[in-house]
Amino acid sequence: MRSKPRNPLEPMATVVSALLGLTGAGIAVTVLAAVVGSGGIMGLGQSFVYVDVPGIVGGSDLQSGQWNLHDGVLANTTGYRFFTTHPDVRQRVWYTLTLLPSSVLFIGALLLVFRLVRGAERDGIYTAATARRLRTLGWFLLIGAVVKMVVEMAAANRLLATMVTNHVEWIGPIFWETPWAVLLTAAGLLTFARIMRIGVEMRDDLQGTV
Amino acid sequence: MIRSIDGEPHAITVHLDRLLEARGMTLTELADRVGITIANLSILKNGRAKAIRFSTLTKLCEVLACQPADLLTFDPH
Repeated sequence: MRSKPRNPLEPMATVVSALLGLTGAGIAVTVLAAVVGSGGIMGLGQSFVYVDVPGIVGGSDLQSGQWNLHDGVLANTTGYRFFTTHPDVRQRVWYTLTLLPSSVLFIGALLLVFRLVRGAERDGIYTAATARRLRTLGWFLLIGAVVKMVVEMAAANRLLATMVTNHVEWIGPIFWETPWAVLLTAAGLLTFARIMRIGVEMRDDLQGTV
Repeated sequence: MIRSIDGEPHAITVHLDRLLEARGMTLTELADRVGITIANLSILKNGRAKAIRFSTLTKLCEVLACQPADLLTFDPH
């Protein structure tokens, strides 16, 4: 007896639905906490902002740990976390920009995967629309990862510049962290989208074969 | 010009009607004996198929006792 074929969209369909639900609930709780004043979201409603500096690399005074702090800025010397409990608007904006791109990338990717799975369930897996949605997801991750990296790095550099008297470059090496895993995944998705598009054409050919 | 299921034009005429009439056979009976669906056989009969498998052609020729040339002709006009 032939076993029942497994849904090829699983476990992705279940995981994405669960993650979307959890993310939505998390955002709702955080926004509520920010509104009632017991928490914050992306720096909004928060009484302090901070920037974490990765380990000492050596070289310039920025990387050698010789920090000259502005008044009101504290530094946790073991972890290199600079924080201020009285952030101005500029510091809040930079702080928000150090967090926002990651969240936008995550939620955007989640919504695109959800659209991909729902579309495949509705229109069929081996369709041009599914291949197109897969390609959109790939480009979103590829461009999003680069934009996220640059924006978060620049924002962290700017936030740091408001906290120390040292000269901080707009885009410097301190916060440089290339998201190789995301970039490779995006390239893989773009390749699979191409393979799928060719597969869809082959399937269309077979449909008229008697 | 005849068009296949995806709208692509071709110049192959399928003579299933003529052969069925000559053999006194219905489309349903032929479909049963060849082992393909009536829907697919209708697509072939109306010239809307994009391709025909050698295995299908073999069975059609066996059942209808004919040659491929009796079934298909090229008509450029």
